[in-house]
Amino acid sequence: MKRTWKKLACSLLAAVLLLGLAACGGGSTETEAPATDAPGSAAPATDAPETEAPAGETEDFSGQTLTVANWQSYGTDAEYGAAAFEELYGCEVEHYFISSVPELLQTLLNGGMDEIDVICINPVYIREYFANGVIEPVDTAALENYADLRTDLTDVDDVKDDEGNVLGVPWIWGTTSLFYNADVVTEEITSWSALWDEQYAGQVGFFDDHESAIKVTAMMLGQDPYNPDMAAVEEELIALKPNVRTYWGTYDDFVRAYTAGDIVIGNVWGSIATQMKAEGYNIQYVYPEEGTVGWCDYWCLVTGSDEKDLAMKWIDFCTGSDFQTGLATNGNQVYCPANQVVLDSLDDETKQNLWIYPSAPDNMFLSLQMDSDTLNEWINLWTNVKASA
Amino acid sequence: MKHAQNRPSKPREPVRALILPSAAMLLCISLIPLFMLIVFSFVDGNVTTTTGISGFTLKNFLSIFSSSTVPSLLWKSFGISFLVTVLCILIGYPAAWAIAKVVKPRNRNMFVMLSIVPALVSQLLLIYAIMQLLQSGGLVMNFLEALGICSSSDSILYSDTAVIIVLVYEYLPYMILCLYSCLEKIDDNVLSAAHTLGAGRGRTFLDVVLPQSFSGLLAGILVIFIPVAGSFVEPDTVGGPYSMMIGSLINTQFNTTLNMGYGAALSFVLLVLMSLALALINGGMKLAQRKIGG
Repeated sequence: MKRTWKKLACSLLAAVLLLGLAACGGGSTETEAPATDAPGSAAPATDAPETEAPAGETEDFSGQTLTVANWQSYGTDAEYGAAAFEELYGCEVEHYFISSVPELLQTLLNGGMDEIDVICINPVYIREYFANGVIEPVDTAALENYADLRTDLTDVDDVKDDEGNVLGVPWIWGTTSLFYNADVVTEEITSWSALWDEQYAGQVGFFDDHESAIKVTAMMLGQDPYNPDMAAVEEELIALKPNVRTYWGTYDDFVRAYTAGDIVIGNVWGSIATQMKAEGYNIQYVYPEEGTVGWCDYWCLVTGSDEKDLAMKWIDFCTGSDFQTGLATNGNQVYCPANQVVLDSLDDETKQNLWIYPSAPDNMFLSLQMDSDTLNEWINLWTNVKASA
Repeated sequence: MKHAQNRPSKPREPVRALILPSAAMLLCISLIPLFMLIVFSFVDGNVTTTTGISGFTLKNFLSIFSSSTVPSLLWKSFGISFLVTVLCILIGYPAAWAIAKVVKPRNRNMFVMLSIVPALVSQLLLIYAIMQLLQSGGLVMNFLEALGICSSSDSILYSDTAVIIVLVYEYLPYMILCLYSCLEKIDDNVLSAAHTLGAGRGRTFLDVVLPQSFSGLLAGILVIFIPVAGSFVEPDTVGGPYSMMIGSLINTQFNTTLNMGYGAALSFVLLVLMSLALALINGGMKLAQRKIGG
């Protein structure tokens, strides 16, 4: 019995030494997994028979670099994101920070496909990206956590190709809903029509985004947000302009205008509202009775990526319990996890923080794909509204 | 005899090959891009290295000429550009004059450096700095409240006024530099002579200073008027719901709608209109120069 323990201790010591050497030398020696209870650690790798590790071990991707396209300060560049993944797989993760989703398509089409391996985009653009040949289907059978993801986010036609192959794996979701400064706005707000109320003239902060703008207006008018009467929507958006103080586009834009008292009501991302509340501002974030605008970001594989195996590990890691819990609970900038198991496990305080207590909004209109003509029509309408005198 | 041996030789021809680098530079950074802009303005939709050019069309220009939005944005952009240029001239002339003629010669370089500091700082940093000053409760609003003009909780941010203030702040150094380079060359004796002959300050400025600083003034106008008309960062950042300019619409075509053809056509139309405006300004300046001398 003693000899068995000694053997086990020696094996462990050898494993630790080998791990250290591998980390220092960047070699390709297979090692035992670090003591991290990470998602996907037991997942079999797709198309990688030589590197496939037995259950309980983590493959070693030392010396390999995964390039991830995502927004800056959007979870993956946090300590519990890329750094944890690097530690888990011994690889390096580099970020390409997105400035706009259409611009990323341009980047990929103009040589970026040789550099970027995995991208985070929303369903509005997934099929367009696929039509342009920059992303390829994801083998979900190779993803350990895929079965735990919310089915209303996985069973979306716009994230699949015509044959039903999955093009994007849901990661985090949220809403862009109505906010108001409860120190200034004393009445209870329950409808989007409050933004058009004359008493808020020059005090509305409206998100500079064609989709939110049109959907919010359609909801206010009682129309189908996916197929509204465009002329009526344009008329209402122009009518809203005297109330608008600024069309905010970035986190900084919003925070500056809100904290200076320039805007007291409008629409905003739930994550910003969470952050502002945590910093002590009396911001209220409500889901109007007409419905709210929802979004979900998906991970997609770049066509012909040299690091496809590692990219698959990345997607599994991003949808696993550790990272998903981190995204919902870590710091003030938190997001709703797409992993249903993780979502169910959150405590009430966390749910309140995510504005999903006691439950998530049931009349949420997700951002979905539109054909290029409709997309152009929506963007042109929004441009016309902003350009109108 | 010696003189006969050392006859002055024929002046040497300049080596024409020496202009080749400059010519190549001009070709690469000016003529080829201009040619590409014209070609792309007839392209249907977007262009990428993968998809290439899908076809040529006139619809980009037809859309522009049938649009009600484009003329109003162009008009607004030209208006703001004109106003910013005029404000830069009005503020820049006294400043350049002070540096060239009032400040002691040994301190001039320091003042020139101080005046161009904003031009050395990142454009976004300048914008955010101005935003801090102009926002509710900021320094400017507190000062205006102290003067009894408005409340400090008011703000001139998110308006055309804020856009103009930021643009003037950004471009004023260029006007000061252009004018200073001319004003410092004006001989003080000429100014003294004008005074001696009975010219007042106004007459001296119109008959002596203005004609001799025309070239700097024209350079300043060119350097300011063109880029300001195409601005999009400033109206997007500090502008309000009515502050959109033509630059924002062009930017949208390249970054949001991915309609490069329409974006190039808009840029081409802006270029032609700017060229016409500058030709008018140049002609007007020459006419004025002939009338008042210089």
